[in-house]
This record gives sequence, C-alpha cells and structure tokens, in this order.
Amino acid sequence: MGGEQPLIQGTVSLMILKTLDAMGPQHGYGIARRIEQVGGQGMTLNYGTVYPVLLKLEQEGVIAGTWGLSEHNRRARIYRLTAAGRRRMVREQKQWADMSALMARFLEPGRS
Amino acid sequence: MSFLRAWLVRLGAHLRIGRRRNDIDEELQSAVDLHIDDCLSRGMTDADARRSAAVAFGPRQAIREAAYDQHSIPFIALLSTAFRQSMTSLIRHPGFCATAIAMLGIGVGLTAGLGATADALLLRPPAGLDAPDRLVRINVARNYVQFEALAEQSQTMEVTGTSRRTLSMGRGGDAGPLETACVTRAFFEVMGTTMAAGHTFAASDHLSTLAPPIVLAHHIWQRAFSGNSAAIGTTTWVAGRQYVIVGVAAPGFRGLELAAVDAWVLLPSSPVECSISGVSLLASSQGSWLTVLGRMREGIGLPAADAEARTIAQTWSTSGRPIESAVTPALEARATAGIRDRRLSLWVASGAVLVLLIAAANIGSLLAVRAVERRRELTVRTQLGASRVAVRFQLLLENALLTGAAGMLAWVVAGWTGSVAARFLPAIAYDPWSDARVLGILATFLGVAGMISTIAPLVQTSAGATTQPQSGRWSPGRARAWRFILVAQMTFAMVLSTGAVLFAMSLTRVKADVGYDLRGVIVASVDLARAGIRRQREQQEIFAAIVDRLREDPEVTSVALSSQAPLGLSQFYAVTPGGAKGAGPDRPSFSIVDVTPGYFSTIGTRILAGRDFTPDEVRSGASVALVDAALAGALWPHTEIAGRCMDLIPGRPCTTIVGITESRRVGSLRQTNLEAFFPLRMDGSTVPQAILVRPENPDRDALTRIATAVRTAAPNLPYVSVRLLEDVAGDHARSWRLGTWLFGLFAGCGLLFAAAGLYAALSFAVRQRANEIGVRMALGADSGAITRLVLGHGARIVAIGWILGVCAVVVFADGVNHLLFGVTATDIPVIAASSIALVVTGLTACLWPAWRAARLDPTVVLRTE
Repeated sequence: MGGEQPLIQGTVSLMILKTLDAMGPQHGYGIARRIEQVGGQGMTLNYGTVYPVLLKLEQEGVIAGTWGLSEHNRRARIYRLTAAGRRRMVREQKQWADMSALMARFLEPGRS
Repeated sequence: MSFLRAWLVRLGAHLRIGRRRNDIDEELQSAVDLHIDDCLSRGMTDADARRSAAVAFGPRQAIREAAYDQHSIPFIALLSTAFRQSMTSLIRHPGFCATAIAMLGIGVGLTAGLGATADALLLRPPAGLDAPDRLVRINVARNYVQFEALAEQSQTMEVTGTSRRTLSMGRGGDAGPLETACVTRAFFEVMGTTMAAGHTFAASDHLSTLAPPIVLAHHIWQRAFSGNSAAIGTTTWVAGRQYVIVGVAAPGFRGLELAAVDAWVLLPSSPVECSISGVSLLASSQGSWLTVLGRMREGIGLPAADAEARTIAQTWSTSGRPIESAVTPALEARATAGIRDRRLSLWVASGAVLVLLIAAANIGSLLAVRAVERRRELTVRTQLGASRVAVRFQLLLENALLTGAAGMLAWVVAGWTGSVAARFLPAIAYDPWSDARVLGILATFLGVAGMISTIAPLVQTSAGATTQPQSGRWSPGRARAWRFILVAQMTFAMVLSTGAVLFAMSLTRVKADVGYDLRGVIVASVDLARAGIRRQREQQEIFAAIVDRLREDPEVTSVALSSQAPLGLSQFYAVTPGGAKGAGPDRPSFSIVDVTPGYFSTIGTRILAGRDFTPDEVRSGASVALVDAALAGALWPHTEIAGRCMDLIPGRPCTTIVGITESRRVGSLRQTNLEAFFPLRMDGSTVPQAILVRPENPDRDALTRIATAVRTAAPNLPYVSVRLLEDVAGDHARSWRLGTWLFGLFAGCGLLFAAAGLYAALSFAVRQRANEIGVRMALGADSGAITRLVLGHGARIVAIGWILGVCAVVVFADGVNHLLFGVTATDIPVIAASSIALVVTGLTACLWPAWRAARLDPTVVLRTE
C-alpha cells in the first residue's frame, strides 16, 4: 500500500457527484467500486468512508436515494444526481480546476 | 442553504430515528451482499468472498455509528444512547444500584440534616435581630421594679424585660397552649426587628387594660389567620381575656429565646397573666422572674454598659458583695443557656459524618469492584467500534443517574432527620425541607460524591484501560488500601454502636428511680388565675369539685392535689430557711410542696419511714410535715426524726415530721431536689396547681376520660393540660431521647453499611480467588477448611476494627461523658454490648461468601479458568 495517496478532505463528495454524473443512478457499493477503479492502484476506498458522505450529500439534497434493485437483482438503495447536485458539481469542478491550475503555476520550476 | 437543509433533514431523521436506523442497517447489509456477489462473480469461493467482505468493510459497528450520527443531532443522540445503555446497565445490577443509592442518600442526607441542625445551634444568630452583637443581658436586674429603675436611669442602653409563660389561646374545647413572652413596651425596638404586619407596642398600649395588645408570631398568624392582614386590629381570646392583635413579628423571629415563641403580650397590661402565682408582681421588689435585656447605644462598649448597670444595681443589692458581671453579651448568654443542646448537636453531627464516611468508603469499594468487573465489557465495546467518548459519556451518565437518585433520597432523609431533631431541640427555627443551608450542604456533598465517582470512569477508559486485556486482579497495594477501608468502617461502626448503647442506657437510667411512678400517673394542670378566676377560695372550690368528679370514676384508683406540678421546673420555688430569718448560711435551701393526703401513694413516691398525713391532721391544722431523705440527712444527720417535733423553718414553732420520703429528681431529671411536704388545706390559704390521678389503666383513653371529667366539673376553662407523667418526664429527657434515637439510627446504618462493605469485599475476593480455592479443593481441602479461610479473613478485619473502635471510644470518652447519665463511655457493659453488635453483624456478613466459597466445584472453576 506504499503507493496509496491519502484523500484530501472534501474530495470524496466531488468524486461521488462526478461518478453519478458519468454513470447515472448507482448504488453506494457501485459508486465506491467505480471511484476505486478510476483512482487505480493509487487508492483504496473503504465503503466506511463513502457511506457517511453519501448520507450527508443526500441530506443536503444534492443526491436523492430510492430503494431499487441492483444488477444482481438485490435490493439496494440507488442514488441519482439532483439538479442542485449537478450545479454543485459544476461549481466544485471549476473550483478544483482553478485550484490545480494555481498550484501547478506555483509548482512549475522557476515560477515561484 | 444546503447546510441549513442538512440540519433540518437531520432533525427530521432524529425524530424518526428508528426507521432510518433500519434503512441504514439494510443498506449496509445490501452493500456487503453486493461485495460478496462481486467476489463470487470473479471466481472466489463463498468463504473467500465473505472473508474479503469482512476485510473490506472492517468493523461494521463503526460505519453504523457514523451513519447513525449522520442522521441525528449528535449530542442528543449521544445522550439518548448513553441514557438507554446506562439504564440497561443499572437495571441489570439492581443490588449495586440499590446499595449505592441507599448508602450515598442516607449518608449525605443524615449529614446534611444534622449538619444544618448543628449549624443552626452553633453558628446561626437568632433570626430577625438587628446587630445582635450590641444586645446584652443585664444580670443584675431580675424583676420589674429593677427593670424600671434601669430603664429610667440608663444612659448607655435602651432596656427591655421579658418573661416566658404558657398561656392559652381560644376558648372551651378549641383552646390550645400559647407559648407567650411577656415583654415591656420597647422590646421589639431593642431587638431591632421589623414587623411583618401591623406595628409594635405603642406607648398608649400601656393604658389599654380592657383589651390589652398582643403581637403574634408569624407562624401563628399563618396558621390561625391564614396570613390575612385583616387580622390586625381584631381581638382574640388569650388566657380567658380578649386581646387586640396589633402586629405580627417577622418570620422566624423569637427574640433571644431558645424555644419557639407564639406571641408577645405587654407585661404592664397583663400583669396577672404573666405572673407565676396569678398575682401581679409588678410592684414587688423581691423575686427573680424577669430577664432584662438591653441594646447598647451607638459608641457605647460593654465596659461602659457594665459599669453603669453595676452602679444602678447598687441601689437594690443587699448582699454587700461586689457584683461579678452586671452585663453579658446576649448571644453569649444565649449560647451558655443552650450549651447542652449545642454539644449534643455537635456529637450528633459528628455521628452523621461517621455514617457518611462509612458510606463513602463503601461506595468507593463498590465502584472499584464494579470497575474491575466492567473492564472486560468496556474493552469489548471499544473493540467493537464504540467511541471512547460514547463509553465515557455512558459511565458519567450512570454516575449522574445514581447521584441524582441518591440526591432525592438524601433530600428526604435530610428533611426527615431535620424535622425529628427540631422536635427534640426547640432552639432550631428553620424548615429542614427548604432551608438553603440544608440544600447547600446536600448539593456540596453530592457534588463531591459525583466528582469522585467521575474520576473512576475516566481512569477506566484511559488509553490503556479499554484496549488492553485485563487480568481483573488487584495489585497488592490496592488490596491493602481496600482492607484499610474495611477496617475503618468497622472502627466507625463500633464507635457509633457504642454511642447508641450509651444514650440508650442514659435514657433508661435517667427515668429510673426518679421518685415518681412515671408510668402510672396522669397530671392535670388548670391555671385558674389565668382563666380570670382570681379569688383563692373560688379556685379551691373548683379544684374540690374536680377532685369529687374524678373520684366518681370507677377507673380512677386515687386522686390528690399538689401546690406544684411534678417535674415542672418553673413551678418550683426555693425557700431558704436561713438568710433573712436568721439561720446560718450553711443551712440548705429546700422546696416546699403542699399536698393532700394520699399524694404519695398516688404519685408513687415511697415513704421510707413514718407515714402520710391523715385527714384529721389536715382538718385540725396540726403543724406536721414530711421531708425527703436528702433534706433529713442535710438538716439532721444521723438523727431519728420520724414522729419528732423538729425545727424545720427557723423562727416558727417546731414541726412534727410524720414521715421521710425518698428523694426525687426535678426539672432536667439530672439532680434531686430537697423537699418538705406540708398538708394542703382547703381553707383558701394555698391554691393547688396540679391534680394527680392514678387510673387503673394509664393509657390514652384514661387521658381523654380525665380531661372530659375535669372540663365537666369546671366548664368554661380556657385550657386544661392533661398529660401522662411519663410524657412530662419525656420532655425533660429529650436530649437523651434524641441521642438514643439518632445514634440508634447511626449505629443501625453504620453496622449495616459496614456489613454490606465486608460482604461485598469477601464476595469479590471469593470470585477473584475462585481458581486458588479450586486448586486447594483439588488438593484435598474440605469445605470446612475453605469456610474457615474466608471466615478467618473477615474475622481479622472485624477484630482489628473492633480494637481500633474500642481505642477511639476510650480516647473520646471524656468528651461525651457529660452528655450521659449514670453511665460512662468506658463502662465494661457498654463496650461489651456494642462489641457483641459489631461482632455478630460482621460475622453474619462473612457467612454467605464463606458458604459460597465452600460450595465451589473445583472441576467447574478450574475448567472456566
């Protein structure tokens, strides 16, 4: 696990929103698996980390959860992105882009 | 906005937390199942898939609690969870809870109730007085003539006089006693008190002899007039006369009196009502019946007031001796008067503190035992993912619940013991149920108990305690500390049971050989002078009618009259045959009591030699008397006097001593009095004060019957006091009764608590050493040897506690002996009785653990280990 990167606080919620935007409605386990796949070898995401964030986002109204069936026909809670969630995702995505551009300028050799 | 929305959703979720929890549990399970499905689809075996799920999800309890937290208001959720778990835990250990609550509640309650009593007697100044340190008692003035001289001449003080009487309030069957202070006009101004309603005595009140003024105490105003200010200006019947209510004193005000006062009347307006004899004493320059008090004026010190009082007193002092102390600070004089009650209250409060110490030691032991037993439970909970905050909070809440329950019990115990103490100690003037000091002491002790019991859970949940496996065994140091606590408990219990035995024996002895048959006699007192019947002949006729009426009762064995009520200290007056009449100063003072024939057999005073008066002697006016053995011994030692004519009262013809009676105790029952008995002649010369009745069955029915008979014989009497002589004696023995009652309670609690502590300690030790006991039994030790092992352990603690207890009793003996009667703290029977109580209780506590240890099955014990 030496190559794993610790998650910066607040990033999981944006990852969840982006996953739901990309994949459409998905259950919590599916979201966690998808984030791990995208993150590749660099990260392992415990379900215990994802689950409270899902609940928080649902309480904030940026995602909505309903009981449905999984791809294996198991009863599961399926989450989808709401309009408010989409707006928030766009806003946070832009903030991240700005922030990473800012950091990149600082970190480029000879600039700081 | 989303933040606000999130909290609103949380609040909604918190209100339907049960349903959301089900959703969370189901969703978690669903995620685990999906993970297993996923693994199976990748070709894993079922066991590997489940193992992978266990690794991936980790401790599910932690996820669950984090999710629960997400759906609730955190503090409320923590509180409600902790409350639920605390209640479950406490209900699961009812014995521990009941013991801890009882010990803490009773220990703190007794200490608060009796600590406040001691505080009221020792520290608190009398209520409603302004600058009480400026009040003085003027010792050189003792009657109204002397008071008037002082009031007229004093430049340094404003002076008042007070004299206490029991009058009656109301008429006929509704009449009841009214504890009254007869005071001079400036009394309330000298005391510096403000009135709750109305006004103090005005200058013109001196003149109103038709309807004299009265000031009611606040509690009487509340009780009789429901606190209605319309009562001011109305009249009320007191001592057979109508009085005008002019004012109501401040709540709790009783002047400098130790006992409660119901009303104040103006002495110059009620001279007959305020006199012992029923004859006005205002103009008499003899006698000592008035307490004269003064308030030093601004800038005047005690020496100046003393010097002035001394100078003024020279005008009536005939002894020619220099006056020792003319003026004493009033609070000091009051404290001296109540010294016995103050000392008793101090001992009683000390006893309560000992009970509290035993209780505290026991609660400490209980918490320690519980801590050891709970370590495993706490460790498991922490390992399962419960946060340390949650565990700590639960433990704190458990202690808070226990302390709260104990606090309620303590309040009840404090109020109850305070009420009981107030009944025995009349100087206490506070409501023990709502007094701020009682509540303050309760809050302080419970706060300390709560804090101490808080430290234990914090230590239990310290970093190592809940994450490392615990052996459940105590270190030798801790075990030694525990043994020390147990020994201390036994020592305290021994001291308390000795106290109980001492007071019980004092009470028994103070009521034995008093010179009266306390149980067989009823005393009826009728104060006709205060009922407005002032002619002595008329008074005698009424008494004769009452006696005739009582003799008609077939249940009455004998009836007699006496010029003095038995045991009534205020009714005694001493005659010094010497002094003015010329005898030597070494002749003793004695009381003269006029009695009718049959008095001695009625009241149960034995005639040691000679006989009683005969009716002929009474009728003929013969000069005859009986004297008590002590007086006979003092006046005519080693002389046979029965039947001889002796010089009893100097300056008068000799008196034939027809008999010698046993000596009797008076007043406080502590000392005997010298008495001479003369015939009570119904010729109007002497007025009886008490009717003594010996019924066949001296019970409450007889009391009612005799009271009815007295009222029938003399209707329209304002107030008739009919009491068993035993009850009258009980009033005088109240300090021993209080001591017996409270130390009995302390000893009971102390022994019970100490036994409970020993029992808990041995039971715990048996559980801890079950393996060792199992090995011993496996190696051949029989159940008798195991019983002896456990009993021996307990017996050593009892024995050391007993030895230290006896040492403590010997050390403190001198301090308590003056409160006792006929017994000392170091008497062998006292030590023996309390030792038996301690040993029996202690060994009883050891029996059950010993029996349980002997019944352990070595195969089961060793396998469990």
